[in-house]
This record gives sequence, structure tokens and C-alpha cells, in this order.
Amino acid sequence: MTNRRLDRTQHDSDADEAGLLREVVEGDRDALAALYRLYHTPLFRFAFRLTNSYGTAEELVNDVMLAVWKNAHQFRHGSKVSTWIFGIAYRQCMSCLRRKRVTIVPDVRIDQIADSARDAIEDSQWIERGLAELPDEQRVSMLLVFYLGCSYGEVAEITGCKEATVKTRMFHARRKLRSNLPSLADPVNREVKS
Amino acid sequence: MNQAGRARDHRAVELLLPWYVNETLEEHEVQSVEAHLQHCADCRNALRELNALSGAIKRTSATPLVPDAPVDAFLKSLDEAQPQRRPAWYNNWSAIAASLLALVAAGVLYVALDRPIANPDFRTVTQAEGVQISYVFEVEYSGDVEQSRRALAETLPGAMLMQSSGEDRIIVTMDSRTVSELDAFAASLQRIDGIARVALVGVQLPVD
Repeated sequence: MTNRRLDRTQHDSDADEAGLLREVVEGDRDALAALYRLYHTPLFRFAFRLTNSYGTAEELVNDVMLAVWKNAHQFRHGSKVSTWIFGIAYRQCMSCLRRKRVTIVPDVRIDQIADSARDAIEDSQWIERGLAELPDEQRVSMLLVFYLGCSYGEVAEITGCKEATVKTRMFHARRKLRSNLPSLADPVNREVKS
Repeated sequence: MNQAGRARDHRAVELLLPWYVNETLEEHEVQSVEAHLQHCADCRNALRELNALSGAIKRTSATPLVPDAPVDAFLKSLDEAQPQRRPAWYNNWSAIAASLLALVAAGVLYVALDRPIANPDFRTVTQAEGVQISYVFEVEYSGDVEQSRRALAETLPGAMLMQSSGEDRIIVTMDSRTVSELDAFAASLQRIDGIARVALVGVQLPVD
């Protein structure tokens, strides 16, 4: 997943991860632990951005990795491991979102965090307002494309949709965000207006 | 290029812009986008918006508040969940048939799947002919929902459509199908305008 221009390193990494999955099929816990360490942070951030809850995100990460443990034999080695794992994460998250709308806000005060993180929190306050208004599928697409760097083919594989649907979804998401966040079209004045 | 051609080109490029931003387009697509951007102010504005969104989402998602990976606790929780290897009866169709007969005799079997199963070999319960089975599909819309529901009802006059605010479910009773036939059936429904996705989520065997 991510930039095709990174190809060589990415290809090696895919091969390593596919090797780990083969060992997981044989019941190798060390291999699973290695995959857990590799994917914990991106899975946690993905789940947290969708559920806005630390507890739920942590549960989802464990659910996803448990599914990896139980279903590693179903992985088709023509696919990328990351696409397969995020496909599981996507389905778990969407199932969770259907069951309940989680609205827990992290207990973080902006004056308690490092300067380097402050910009991110300010961005968060701006972007959260827009993303929160999007339908779940569009919000997930935004994350898959801009946080995880998925190609449209990978988004289609993860979400089980046609590529045309993925492209249209992103188009409508941008249109809706522009409508909800007028300052999007004028980022220079974003802070004044928001 | 005539006006219709320019409109098609504009639409095609506009749809590709998010992936131009995240740099996952193929080279020929990049060239096509860059050629179009030179003379299309609308797409340049859209690109500016997408760059702003991409930057904000990346910075926000990377906020360093992720807890340490609790690997040890997770591994401890695995004791009750060994990885599933292919079951011994997998290649034994007579055992499957016997199991199915027992289940049918016992009443109704409902297999609810939380998610599509990656390995299609596991997706079908039976390939026996002449058995009427109700297949439950989840339907997701991308266009006009009401219009798509009407189109579905016309395509499948005997089916039951269960509407909800999220995805609908449609129950279709028909002769038992193989995995590839079920995939083809779902794909044919996905070709209806306004339907984004059709996925098998359950199988119901009627009482004999």
C-alpha cells in the first residue's frame, strides 16, 4: 500500500509480510507478534479516526489481529498483506459503526501537548468538523486514500467495491467537504473563518 | 477534441485527482492529469483543496497519541483461538452432504456472516441440485436509493427486500448455486444503476 514510486523497498516488505503470514498459518506466535507490532499503529490510527474512541480502537486492533490469526490460511498470495489486513479492519470498523455511533472524545488539552503536536490538534479540530458530516463510506475512503496512501484499486479491494464507485465516492466526499468547510477553498484564511 | 470529448476528459481527470495527490497513479494517468491541469482552472482548484485535505488528514492521523502495542496481552488472549487450518472434512463431499441432510432434517439453518469470506470455497453450503435455498445479500447504494430499489424489485420479482437506513438486505430463494454462480449473480445485480455493492451475507435452508 502506499506510493508506487517506493516500489523496491515496498516489494521486499510485502514479501516479508507474506512470509510472516505463512508462518502464522503454521501456528507461529512469534510471526503473529511481528505482524502485530508492524500493524498496531496504522490499524489503531485508522480505527481511532473512524470511531473516535481509544478503547474501541484498541479493541478493533485486537479483533483484526485475532482474525488474522484465525484466517491467515485464507490469504491469497496474489494480494498484498496490507490490503488484506486493512480489508479485515474495514469490515470490522464498518460493523462497529453500524452497531453504535461512538462519540467519546480523547481527553487531551491543547496546552498539555508538545508544540509539534499542537498544529495537528488544530488541524484535527478543523478537519473533524468536516469529516464528521460525511457518510461512513466516504470518510473511510478519505482515510484510505490520504492517510494510508491506497491506490484506487486497493481501496476497491479493501472495501469490496468497483473502482468506479471508489472514484465517485471520493468525488462526492470532496464536494461535501467543500460545502461543509468553505475555508477549504481558501486555506490561507482557514483559522480566521473556522 | 470536441466539447463532449473535453467534458469526458475533465470528468475522468477530476475523478483521478485524489490519487494524483497521493502519488499512486500509473505513469500514463499522471501524464493525462498534468496535461489537463495546464488548461483547467477548476481542476487546479480541486487539486488545491485535495492537497489541503490530504495534509490535514495526514497530520491529524499521525498525532502521536497511540498507546504502546500490547503484544504480550494480545498473545495471552490467543489461547482460546488457534489458527483455523482447513478442516479434515473439507475435501469430503459425502460428509458435507450427510451434515447438510442432518441440518435440513433438524429445521432451518441460518448462516450469518459478519463479512464476506475471502476464500470462496467456504462460501457455499451445498452444491446439491433441486434444493431451494434462500440467499441473503447485503445491498449498498451509490445513487438514487429509491430508484435502485425499484430496479431491484423489477429484476427480482419474487425477492424480499428488507429496507434500512444503511444497507438493505435482499432475500432471494432459488435453486442451490455454486460459489461462482453466486458471485456472477451478485455481479449482475451490481450492474444495476445506483447499486455500489452486493455481497452474500447469509444462507437459509428451508425445512424439508
